[in-house]
Amino acid sequence: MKRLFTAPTRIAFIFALTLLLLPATHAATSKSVSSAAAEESIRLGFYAGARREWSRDDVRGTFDLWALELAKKFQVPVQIIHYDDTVEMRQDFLAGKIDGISADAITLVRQYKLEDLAEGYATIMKGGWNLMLFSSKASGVNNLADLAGKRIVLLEEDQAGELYLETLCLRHHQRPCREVFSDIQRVSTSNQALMRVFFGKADLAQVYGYGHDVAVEMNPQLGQSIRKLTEFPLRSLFFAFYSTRVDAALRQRTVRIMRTLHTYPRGRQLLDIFKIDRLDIAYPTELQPVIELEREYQRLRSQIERKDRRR
Amino acid sequence: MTPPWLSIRLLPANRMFFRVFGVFGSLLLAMTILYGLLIIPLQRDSLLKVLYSQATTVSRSIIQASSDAMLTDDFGFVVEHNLQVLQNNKSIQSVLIVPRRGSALSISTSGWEMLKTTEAPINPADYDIESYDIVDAPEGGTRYRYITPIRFSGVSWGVMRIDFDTSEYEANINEMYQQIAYISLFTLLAILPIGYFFALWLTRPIATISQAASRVASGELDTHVEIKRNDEIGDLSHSFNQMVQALAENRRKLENVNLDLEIKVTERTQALDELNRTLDQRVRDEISKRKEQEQLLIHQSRLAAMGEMIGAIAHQWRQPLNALSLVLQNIHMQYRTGQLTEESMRTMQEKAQQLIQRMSQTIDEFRNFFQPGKHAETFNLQHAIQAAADILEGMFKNHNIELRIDCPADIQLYGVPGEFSQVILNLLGNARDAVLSANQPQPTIRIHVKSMGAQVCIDVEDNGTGIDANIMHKIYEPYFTTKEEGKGTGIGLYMTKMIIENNMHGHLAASSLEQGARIRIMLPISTEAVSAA
Ligand SMILES: Nc1ncnc2c1ncn2[C@@H]1O[C@H](COP(=O)(O)OP(=O)(O)O)[C@@H](O)[C@H]1O
Ligand SMILES: [Mg+2]
Repeated sequence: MKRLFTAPTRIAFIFALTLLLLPATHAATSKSVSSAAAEESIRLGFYAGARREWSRDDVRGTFDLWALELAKKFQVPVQIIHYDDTVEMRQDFLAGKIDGISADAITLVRQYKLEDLAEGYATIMKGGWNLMLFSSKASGVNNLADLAGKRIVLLEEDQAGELYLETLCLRHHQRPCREVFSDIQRVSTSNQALMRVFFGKADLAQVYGYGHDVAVEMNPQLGQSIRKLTEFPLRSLFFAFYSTRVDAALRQRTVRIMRTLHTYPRGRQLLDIFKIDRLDIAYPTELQPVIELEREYQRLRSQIERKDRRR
Repeated sequence: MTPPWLSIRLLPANRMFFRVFGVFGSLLLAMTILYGLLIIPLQRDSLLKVLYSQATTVSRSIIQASSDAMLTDDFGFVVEHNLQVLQNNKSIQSVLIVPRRGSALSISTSGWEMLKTTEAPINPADYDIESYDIVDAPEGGTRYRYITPIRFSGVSWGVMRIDFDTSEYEANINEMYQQIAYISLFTLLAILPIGYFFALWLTRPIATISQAASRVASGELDTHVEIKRNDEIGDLSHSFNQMVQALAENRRKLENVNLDLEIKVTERTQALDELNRTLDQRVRDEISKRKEQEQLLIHQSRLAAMGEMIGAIAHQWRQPLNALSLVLQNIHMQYRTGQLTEESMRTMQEKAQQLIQRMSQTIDEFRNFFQPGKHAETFNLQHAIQAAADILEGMFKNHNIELRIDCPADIQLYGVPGEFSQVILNLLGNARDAVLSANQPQPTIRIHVKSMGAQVCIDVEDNGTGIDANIMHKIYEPYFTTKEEGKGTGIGLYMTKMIIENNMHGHLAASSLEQGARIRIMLPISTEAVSAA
């Protein structure tokens, strides 16, 4: 179960990365098919993530299978470079060793300059990627001023969520979260988080919109027992962007193909396995709200630190 | 419609063939169906066992994986785990978990739901042991429902119910039905040729013999059956041929016998015709003979009665005659001695007159008695007996015979009084003869009458010779007598029985006593009043 609900976020990540293969494939096809495979192959950077519970071999296996499948379809060899470290991946990108990167919004915002990135794809989920903070109606938490001393459930490895919640704590309570809440639990899926609230194991849960929709679809009672306190709009959490070095015409052509992935059977099948609704074109500028959130967080934190130092 | 060659060669038109064919076919079909009926439950059981082992495995793994969560009331985990199990195991339709404390959880592939304990479809207290059943699903079809208690170190935590999809099970069952249907169909198809040849093989010789037998029955005794087989049917055809030969032989013999018989019958018929012609005359002769005899009997009986009467008169008259004789002697003596006076003459004349009067009266009485009216009427039994006794009174006194009559006064009978008197007189006469020839020192005759409802029983008993057992069956025959010539006629008892049984609808029987005989008469009592005496 854990894995299934984890999958969309994780797989979206992989999937987005995989898409970079396609334009490369086309590029290769347009050049030459007969030349040496090593030189013609598309190189893609892929960060498997820090989580150990999610077997890296599984990820590689799935990913490699996809790459082969797609390469067969477009008759172009693909080389995937797996990174354990985002810094190393960034260096290779800047050095031109890889032609595209795939990462979550926070990593992209913190490690890449928007002007180095060209258009790419966003992973669109039914129910969306909006971050939502829910309280149990039974807990008596009616707005953001009531958070103090409550128990909250968060998602594991959720940098965006952590950033947003910390910003909220600083904004409304002028203190970091660990001082605001009496208990912070971390679970791997939105459904688990909301169930903890439903069964009274926690007062609050911060989840993504798609996760909330799935949980409520599974049990409408759950939807009735919670109240939405606030929401941060996000079109997607996972993106794949080309390097600006890749030919613009090639980029645009492949984007058109990928946007229709959900309209033909083989593409539909791939999307369905990971419960991804569709892929849509994305531009680096879409990361702007995250950049602003990050800025607000930094500003509020330094304000608090200054206050503390004065004391 | 059917071409003749087909009806002859393919469908032998004899009933035996169809019966054998039918019996053989239905037997085979019945066996197939029986086989199917035996197999179905076995197969179903084994399929259910598969479902059961699946159910126990699933439930055990769920309970094992959720045990920590269950004990810490971490229902979120329990739900998650079960959703995962449902996801991975498509044959599970739903899981229901009802804890003893807290709310019940209903989990299916499409979602889950928390039920109030009171709403939960099952109560943990009712499920101490596991149970399983095929139940009807509300959405149609069936499901396999497995219910098991959840226990941790012996303590009941709650109960779990898992519903399994039965479509695979149903598919297996359907496949099985289909197979049985195919086998039945195959059997049916196999029966046609096999049954046809089997029935043909079995019935053709029988049909041949049967047809031959029909020919024999219609008289063709030169019929011969040609079946060469080394079994009972071969034996049968052989015996049949022998039988037909024997039959032909017998018929020839019979024809001869018939001829003889016909001649004899003609002869007999002629004799019979002759007999018929004379029979009429013979019957008429017999009847007239019979009438004559009867007439004679009546005449003789009357003579006998007359004899009795004369005897009785003689006895009655003896005493007054003696007295009259004395009167006459007295007159003569008085006349000789000169003592005869006017006075004494008148006295003696009166006396003689009296005696004569008495004798005349006796005659009148006898005449009345023996010339009775021929009409049947109601009469008093006691009077009738007494009247008869009076007639014989003198005779009995002479022979010193004691006559005792013991008869109720109020019994009426219906009949001809004279005839009944004749009966009593006959019986008293016989009794008298018996006591006299027995030389009985105290000869006694008793008439004892007692009424028994609608009947009266009249016993006439004597202490005479009694009736010998050898002649008991003969005494009612006319002319049978054991008495010496001139004394007995043999008609008395014959007449008596006739009068009692034919004319008066009674019954008469004789029997021997220790000393003497008893004649018993049973007669119907008349309820009418006695007509004028
Ligand atoms: N009371 C009796 N005791 C012994 N024998 C009797 C008596 N009554 C009738 N019999 C026998 O029955 C016979 C037939 O009787 P019955 O017909 O009256 O003829 P009969 O008196 O003229 O002989 C008698 O001869 C006698 O042997
Ligand atoms: Mg007599």
